[in-house]
Amino acid sequence: MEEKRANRTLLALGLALAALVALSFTLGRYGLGLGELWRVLTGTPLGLPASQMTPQQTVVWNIRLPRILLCCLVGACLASAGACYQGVFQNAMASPDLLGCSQGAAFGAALAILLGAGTAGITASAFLFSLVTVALVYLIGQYAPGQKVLNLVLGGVMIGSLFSAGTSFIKLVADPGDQLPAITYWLMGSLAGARMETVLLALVPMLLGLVPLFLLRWKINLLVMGEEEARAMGVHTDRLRLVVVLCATLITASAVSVSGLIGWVGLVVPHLSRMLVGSNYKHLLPCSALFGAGFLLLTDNVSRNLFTAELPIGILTAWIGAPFFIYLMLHQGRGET
Amino acid sequence: MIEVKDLCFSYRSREVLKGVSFQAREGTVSFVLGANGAGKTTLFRCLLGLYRPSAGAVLLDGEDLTRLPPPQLAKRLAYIPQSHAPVFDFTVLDMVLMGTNHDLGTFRSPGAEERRRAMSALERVGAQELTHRVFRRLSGGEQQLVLIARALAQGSRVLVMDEPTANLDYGNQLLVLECVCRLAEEGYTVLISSHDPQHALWYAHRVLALDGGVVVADGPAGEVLDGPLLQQLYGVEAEFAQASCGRVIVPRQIKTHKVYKEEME
Repeated sequence: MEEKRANRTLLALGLALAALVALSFTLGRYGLGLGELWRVLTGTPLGLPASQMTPQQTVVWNIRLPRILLCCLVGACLASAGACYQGVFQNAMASPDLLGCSQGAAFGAALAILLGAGTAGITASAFLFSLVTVALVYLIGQYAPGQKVLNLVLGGVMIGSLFSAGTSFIKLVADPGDQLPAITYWLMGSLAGARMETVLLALVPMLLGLVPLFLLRWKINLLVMGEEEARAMGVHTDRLRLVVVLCATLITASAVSVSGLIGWVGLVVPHLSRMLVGSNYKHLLPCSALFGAGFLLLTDNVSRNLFTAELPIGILTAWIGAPFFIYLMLHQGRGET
Repeated sequence: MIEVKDLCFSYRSREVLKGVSFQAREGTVSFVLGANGAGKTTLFRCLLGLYRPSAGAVLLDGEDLTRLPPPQLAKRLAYIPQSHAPVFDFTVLDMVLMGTNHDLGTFRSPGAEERRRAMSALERVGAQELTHRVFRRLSGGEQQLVLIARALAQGSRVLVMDEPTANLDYGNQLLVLECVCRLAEEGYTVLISSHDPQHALWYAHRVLALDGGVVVADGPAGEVLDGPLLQQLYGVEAEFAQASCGRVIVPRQIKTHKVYKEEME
C-alpha cells in the first residue's frame, strides 16, 4: 500500500524533473523554443567539433547541457548525503557538512586560489581537503572515549571551526585585488561556467559514493533505531556507519568542490522528501536524489534568469532554506503534542 | 536453554559483573531484579554482544554466543528495548520489517516473504490493526507491542527485554506482561529486567536478583522473593500479603535508599 504510493510519487518526481530539464534548456539570455531544442538535440552529429557548431548548438551542448547536468548531480548528491547523515546521526538537523566537509573544502579552495592555482587545481584541492577534514573528525570520533556518535558531531564542529579560521586567515593575507574576490565568490557557491570535463570528472567520485548508498539504503533504517537496537537486529553497526559516512562524504566533497558552498539543500530536501514518501530509506533516498536535483535546477534557473547579473546560487538556497527551517521548527513542535 | 557461566565484566577499572551464573529454560519468564547500578543493564548488554565480557560464557543450547557476529547472534537472541520513538516517522510495518534484517543479504530489502513474517508477528501480539499506523503516534503500550512483534519477526527463540514496562501506564504494563507470558507458554525463553518486584511476583517463573554485580538470589519467584531480599536489594522493608487472586507486596516503610547508604560509607 505505502510501497505503491511511494513508487508512484517517485515516478511523478522523475517526470517532473525531466520536464524541468527540458524547460531549463530553453531558458536563458539566448532564447530557445522547445521545437528548436528538439532540432538541435536530434540534429547534431556526435563528436562535432565546437568550431563547426551553430550558435544554437553551442548554447545547448557546451553551455546549458553541462550546467544542467552539474546542477542535477550536485543537487542529488547534497540531498542524498543529507538524508544519509540524518539517518546515521539520528538527527533531523544534520546536514552533509556536519563533519566539516564544507569547511574543509572551503579551506582547500581558498588555499589553492592563494597559491594561484587554476580551476582544476582549486577543485582538486577543495576535494582533498574536504576528505582530509572528515577523516580527521572520524579518527577523533573513533579514539575519543564515550559515545561515538556524539564524539563525531563534536569533532566535526571543532575541526570545522579550525578550518573556518584557516579560511579567514587566508582571506586576510590574500591579494584584495583579485584573490580575495575569487575566494569570496567561490564560497558563495555557483554553477556558472560548468564545463563538460568538470561534469565527467565529478561524475566518477559521485557514482562511487551514490551507488553503494543506493544498494545499502534499506539498512540505513536500522541505524536510525540506534546503535544497540541495530546491533541486536544483526547489523555490523561500526562497519555500516563507516561505509555510509564515507560514501556520503565522498559525494558531498565532489559536489562542494565543483560548486562551492551551496547550503541548505542537504538539510531541507530530505525533510520535504520525508513528507512525500515517508522515512523508509528505500524510498527516501531516491526521492531525495530526484527532489534535490530538481530543487537545485529550479534554483539555478532563478539565479541565472531573474536578474541581469547572475545571483550566486548559495545565496538563493539560503533564502529559501532558512525560512523553511523556521517553518520546520514550528511545525515539528506542533506534531509532538 | 540459555546458560550464563561465571560472566565477568569491568568498565575501565570498575568490576560491574563479578561471576554471574544462571540458567533460563524454554517456556519460562525470568525476571532480573536489582537496584540501579546493580549490573542488570550490563548483564543484558553482554548477552546482546554489545559488551565483550572479560571472562565467562553465554551458552545457548551449548553454543557460545559471546563470539558470534551480529547477524548470527540476532538469529538466536532478540532484544526488546523500552518503548521510545525514533527520530523519524516510520510506519509500524516498516518497524517490524527491520526485525527480518539478519536474514537479508547486504544489498537486499524485505520482500513479500518478509512482509508475511511481519504481518504474522503483528497478529500474534494482537496488533494487526496498527500495521499502517505511524509508530511515533501510538500509545506507549501499543509501541511496546510493536517492538515485541519486531522481535518475533526476528525469528529467535530468546527474548531479552530491558524494563519493558517503564514509561507505561498501569493498564498497559499488565497488557505487555500478559503478552510476554503468552509467548513464554508458546515456548520462548524470556528474560526481563525490571524495577518492580510485584511484577516479578506475579509473572516470573524465576527470579534472578543482582546486587553489586553478584547474584544474591536465584530461584522460583514464590520462594526467592521475600522481605529480607527486598531489604537487601532496595533497602525497603515490605510485607507480603495474600489477596484472593495473588500475593501482593506492601512496603512498610522506606528506609534510607541503598545507593545513598553506599555513598555514605
